[in-house]
Amino acid sequence: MTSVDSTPESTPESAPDFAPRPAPMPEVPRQVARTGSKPADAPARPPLDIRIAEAVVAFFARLSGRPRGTYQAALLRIGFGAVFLASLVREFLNRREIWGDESPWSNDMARRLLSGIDGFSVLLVRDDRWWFELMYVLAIAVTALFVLGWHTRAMSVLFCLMVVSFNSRSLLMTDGGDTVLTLMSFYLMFTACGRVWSLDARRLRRTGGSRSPGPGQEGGVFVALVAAVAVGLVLPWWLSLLGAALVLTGMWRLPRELEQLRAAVVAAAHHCALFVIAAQVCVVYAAAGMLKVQGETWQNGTALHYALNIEYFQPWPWLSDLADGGPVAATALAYLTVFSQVGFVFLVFAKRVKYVVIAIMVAMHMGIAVLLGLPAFSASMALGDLIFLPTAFLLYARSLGGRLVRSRARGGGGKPGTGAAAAEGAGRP
Amino acid sequence: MPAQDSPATEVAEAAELAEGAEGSPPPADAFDPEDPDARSPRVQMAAAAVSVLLIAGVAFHLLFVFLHVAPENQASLKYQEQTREWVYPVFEQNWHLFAPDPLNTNIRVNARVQYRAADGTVTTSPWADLTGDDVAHIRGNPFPSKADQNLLRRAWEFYDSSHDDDGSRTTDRADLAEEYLRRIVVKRMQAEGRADGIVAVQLRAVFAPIGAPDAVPSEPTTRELGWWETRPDDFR
Repeated sequence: MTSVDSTPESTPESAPDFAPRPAPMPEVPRQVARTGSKPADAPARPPLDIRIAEAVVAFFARLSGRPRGTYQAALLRIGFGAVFLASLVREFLNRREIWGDESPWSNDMARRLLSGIDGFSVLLVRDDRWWFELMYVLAIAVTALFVLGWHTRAMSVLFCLMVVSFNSRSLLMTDGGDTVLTLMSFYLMFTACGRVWSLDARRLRRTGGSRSPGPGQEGGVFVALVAAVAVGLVLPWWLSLLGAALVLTGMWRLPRELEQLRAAVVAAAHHCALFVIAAQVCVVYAAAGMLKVQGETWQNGTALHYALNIEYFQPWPWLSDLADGGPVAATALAYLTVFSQVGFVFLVFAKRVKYVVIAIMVAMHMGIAVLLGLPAFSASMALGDLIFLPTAFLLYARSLGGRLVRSRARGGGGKPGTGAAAAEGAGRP
Repeated sequence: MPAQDSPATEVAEAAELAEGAEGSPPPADAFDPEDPDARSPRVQMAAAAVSVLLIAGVAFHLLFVFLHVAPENQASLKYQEQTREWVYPVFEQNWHLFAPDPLNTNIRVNARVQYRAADGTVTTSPWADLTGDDVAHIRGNPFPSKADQNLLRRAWEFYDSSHDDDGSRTTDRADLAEEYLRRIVVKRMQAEGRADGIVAVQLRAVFAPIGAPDAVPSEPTTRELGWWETRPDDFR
């Protein structure tokens, strides 16, 4: 930027940091070329305040423009949906002991505990057995449809309602994995997590319809109305009414400017929610890491020995014995755990190092899943790490997964992989 | 969204757009509401205003999550009530699993019951190792059930956090914790068909230290709770 030096309004060296990033790139060669031919009227860079104002405008245009990170949001939708679905299916035979009429934590006890914290659960709306069974089936259906991305926004509301309801009904049955799931199910309601890798996306591709409200959206409006009414079961009725009113506006085509504003709000909420999700993951690691820093056993390297010898987290004692091998390895792993948790927030935004810290975290959680018998918890935590992966990586993993599935299908029965199989591979890169 | 800022993202998003365009050419009269450049200044201003509100909401939320999660400090003490109001019931969280230190003791909860026969004689059952049953179910199971892994473990934690070592109540939820443990014992007995005629239950916890690596762990210690009379509700 030598041309700038000749102008009287030259700005301090730190100024370019404030400039909107895409703007200066094409301007630089143009400026140099012009100063080369006509140095007299070299266009002055706009003053700092103008550039700051432009940067602010560009920031808001970006924030409320096209939703970015839609693949990351879709990954979370599929991942967290799959975790909850797996838990519901896995616990099907124990469902009454954990959330239902056979639970030692009775509905009345649950109500007493929840009344102190303003908690709620659709499972506590009625005490009848049929209500519980109906809600269980509905939870499975809602979660499956959420994973598939069928009318995703409405399903995300119902999904959150179900996750919160099941965890609140039996608060003392939950562990860290359920906490992550609850938080993420709430945040996901505000994301555009159905834009890609979803039935919604497929429908848009096939019919060529638009996402905008108006004629043709009756089906979606109906599903969303059901969700809005369901919310009224446990939350104040006026919220339900508000939701229903908002949903009903989808029946008519909105005026152009209102439609633009709607799209802007959707995008801004999506970006804010993704930011909160990323921040939440960092909070988890920072909190866990800072607590561990104070722990004596993490300092002297014996923490893993203790963790591996807790009976409740020891599905394979011989494997735990094997992993509890030697003072050097155990100390190294303890320090690696603490360092990567404390450092997560600083490393995960670095362009290249982030792959290292994400790999460490995912490996750590795979170890926890097997060694400590906590697959649901581990899957939830690992999913939180994966949102920091760039879109190109996710697309690559998806195509790789799709190719693997296809080649295996060909090897097995000679049938090319279906779209559904490829989409399934996409969930777990 | 720093995570999405890499140039690779832009390439991929271009690919996404291309993919969308390929599937269905948009109708001629369609406009793209997501295009920020097509918005009038009025819409841009409104969008920015909503964005500012959302950003404020995000900051507000993250602030309270921080106050809730961070170690107790003078700021979190000052806003304790507001933090509670905001965080419960959905955003409550604690990340104490294996932190600051993993448990150094295996706690086994045992229980025994008193039966009253029709002629009025009272008999006491031997101790049953409830935790032992859980552990037996967890062994060899790649996806242990919550009913085995969390139910009794967290019920004991709940009791322990609401009572002193001598069994006196320290919080207003102590009665819930006692009722929960009592009902767990009754339900376990019911599952084995041995619940008829139970009039009282007693629990004890056996603390078995894990011991340092390569050291012989010290002898387990036991804490017995008092006898609790059962109530008709416990059998439902």
